[in-house]
Amino acid sequence: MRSSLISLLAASTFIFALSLTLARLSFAQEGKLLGDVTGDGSVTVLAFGDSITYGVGDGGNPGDYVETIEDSGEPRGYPKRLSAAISAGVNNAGSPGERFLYDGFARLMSFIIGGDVDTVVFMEGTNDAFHRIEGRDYRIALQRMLNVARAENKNVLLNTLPPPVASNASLALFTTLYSSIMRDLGVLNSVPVADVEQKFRQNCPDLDSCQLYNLPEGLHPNSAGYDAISKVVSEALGG
Amino acid sequence: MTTQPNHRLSPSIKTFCLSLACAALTACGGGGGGGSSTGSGGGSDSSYGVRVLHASVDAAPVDVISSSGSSALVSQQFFAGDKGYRSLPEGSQVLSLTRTLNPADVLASFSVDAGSASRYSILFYGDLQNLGLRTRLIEDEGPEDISGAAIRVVNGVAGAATLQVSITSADSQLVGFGQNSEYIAAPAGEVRIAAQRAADGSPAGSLVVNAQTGRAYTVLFAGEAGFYTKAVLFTDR
Repeated sequence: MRSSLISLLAASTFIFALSLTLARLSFAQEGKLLGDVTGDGSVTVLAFGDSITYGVGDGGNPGDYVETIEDSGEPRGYPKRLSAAISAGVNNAGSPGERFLYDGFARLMSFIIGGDVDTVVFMEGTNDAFHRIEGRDYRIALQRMLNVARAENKNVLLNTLPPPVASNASLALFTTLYSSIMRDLGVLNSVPVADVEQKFRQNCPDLDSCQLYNLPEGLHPNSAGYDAISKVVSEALGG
Repeated sequence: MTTQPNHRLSPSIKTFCLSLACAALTACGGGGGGGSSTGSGGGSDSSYGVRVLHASVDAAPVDVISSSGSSALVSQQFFAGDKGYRSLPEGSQVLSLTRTLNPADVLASFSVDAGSASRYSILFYGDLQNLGLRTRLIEDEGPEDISGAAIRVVNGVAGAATLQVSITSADSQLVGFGQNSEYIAAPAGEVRIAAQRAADGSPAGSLVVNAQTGRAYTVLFAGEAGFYTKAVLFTDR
């Protein structure tokens, strides 16, 4: 009985990993995400999210001391870099401070239902973590979004969330949960995932001193961090 | 004394192999990120068999497994997806609607005695917030004689207790939530089908069917009133 359970557990783990790999490979290789699905003659990519999509903290360099960031400045961040990397227009639809389950969901739907967006790059949830939004609610909203996007013939790329560190490290409990939900729903829905969280964790064994963030603020990436996000997203888009 | 090699697999290894085969089939069948349903896993396209009418905008994709086989008959049916019938083994069996990639997570089971010309639709509807997810097996017994075309409607719109449906100039039909109308005769050619919530007249979707003589169609109205609805066309025969 025990060996059966162990085998079943091992099988489940293996299957999940295999499925994740196959899903990623199929999309990265085929590069299907950058197509004119609306048929309007151009490819429109929408980078949707909060301040980390908007680009707050961009311009800071590793080693700078940044306790808080008050000024959002002009939109920049990974969408600007991505546009150059994939040679296509990327609209920065980052809204600093926005929560996915509060006002983000409705705003995102306004882009997905109808409209000329071909591909949505989604990265939102860090502000939900401030309000300890439960994983179940985040999961339902994300699945609803994926269902409507598919029904509307829109491509979606899910970006996992950079884990908050240093002064904001306590939020990582929730953002890590949201990121795992993105991976899970990515597999179930055959939607590709750009694993930003994994990239940050790989680059920074000691997250609290990670050179990809403005520190000790620990919430917003610095220029190096936005470079890293752009690279992961670009690869996932097949650019 | 000699011993024969034991070729029998232990139950745990069998479980592993079956799960692996099932997952590989499902994973390989994925489609594009968004867009129309393109997954090709599961059984082959057929004029008979089983299909899923996925109407719940809250729910992840689903599979259908038969007790007579090990692999999924229907694989990764998405919300508002339009996959047609997948062939079904003949005989008595249990059809299980499961979450995609989770064959052990059974949402509903139905006992059927399938013949060579049996057709079944599993309606998957409801929501996760108020109504709960629901299922219903529909035995697709089409109209006996079709002079032109025949069209029926399924109400899978959460929040629409009754849909008022018009098919061209025919009298409007009232279809309860989770229910289907009878087949209605329609002329060959372009036929417009539109639905609205009976309670307040809010639109619940519409589409134009290029109806062909001798064909029967099902139009599924899927989604959630006030949020997102979509009409999906299935060819029954």
